[in-house]
Amino acid sequence: MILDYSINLPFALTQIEYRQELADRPPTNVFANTPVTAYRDNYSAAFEELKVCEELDENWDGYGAKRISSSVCSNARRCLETLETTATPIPEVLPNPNGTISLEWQSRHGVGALEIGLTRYSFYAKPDIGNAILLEGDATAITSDFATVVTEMLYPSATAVATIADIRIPLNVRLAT
Amino acid sequence: MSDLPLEISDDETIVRAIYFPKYLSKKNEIKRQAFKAQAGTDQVSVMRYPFLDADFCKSKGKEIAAAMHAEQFRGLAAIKAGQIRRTGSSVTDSRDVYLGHADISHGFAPAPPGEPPPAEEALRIDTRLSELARRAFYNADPDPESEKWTGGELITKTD
Repeated sequence: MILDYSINLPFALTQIEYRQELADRPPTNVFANTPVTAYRDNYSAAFEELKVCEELDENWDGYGAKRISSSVCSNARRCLETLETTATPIPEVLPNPNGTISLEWQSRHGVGALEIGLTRYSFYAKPDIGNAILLEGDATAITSDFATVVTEMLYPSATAVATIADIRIPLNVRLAT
Repeated sequence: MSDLPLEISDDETIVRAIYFPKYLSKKNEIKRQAFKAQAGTDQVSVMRYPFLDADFCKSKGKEIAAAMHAEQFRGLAAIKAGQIRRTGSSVTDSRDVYLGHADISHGFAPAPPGEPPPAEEALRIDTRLSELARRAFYNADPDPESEKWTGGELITKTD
């Protein structure tokens, strides 16, 4: 598949599929070879993945993984519903052994991960070049601040200048140095 | 008395069973989740090869797959102990589980149950896991349904 960056892609862009030619170049950071999440064109796939997380039993990984509680699932569902309204690119939804849920994004520009727990969430977006952005907060009231970071850092407009991305950082966000 | 030394040399091959879809992408690339620590620990269960041959590794992998939700055993990730150590994680013998069993330890304090680690720590952990996934070689099982391993000798990447 040829990626044509001259096209003005719509804001509601989903993950860009990595071409093997891009993956073969020496990575500038270890995330460069991380598998890109599958192409999706609507949030139903993410909600389906969340449903799978909800149905997991105790020890779902064979090594004592915790069941994902209904509270964590509710927090994650609310977050997905918020993301859907902001037209943020669709994440992959994954259970974690300690009973949390992760929403993850991977593009040619970097990676992002939001881990949702019972009362807290933590988020990072790590660009291929540059500092990561970190966020933490109340898992029952996840705002769309991180969605802005995901969209602008990981899926910048195709018409943007190649080496500069204008990222508007909310006041409650801190940078990792 | 076993002749398997307690100490794991850098040149020894360490094996991790790989399941689809949690540990393997559709493009047959190892995901960093394959090296994620077990709940409440900083450890990942692995096997010492070739003391444990590929047949045993596969048999153990399928046994675990049976306990997992909708996961398919697909193959074995192989990585040298020295490659693991160069990422900052350690690998040590844990024959109290069974002879030939070992643990990769990442050295990060486990997050409280049901809660994520702080964001900076989450980034550090995922960076480590991605590095391990990048260094490991995925030996695909040509016949996952069979009881025996038919994929030949397990291969690792050279650094």
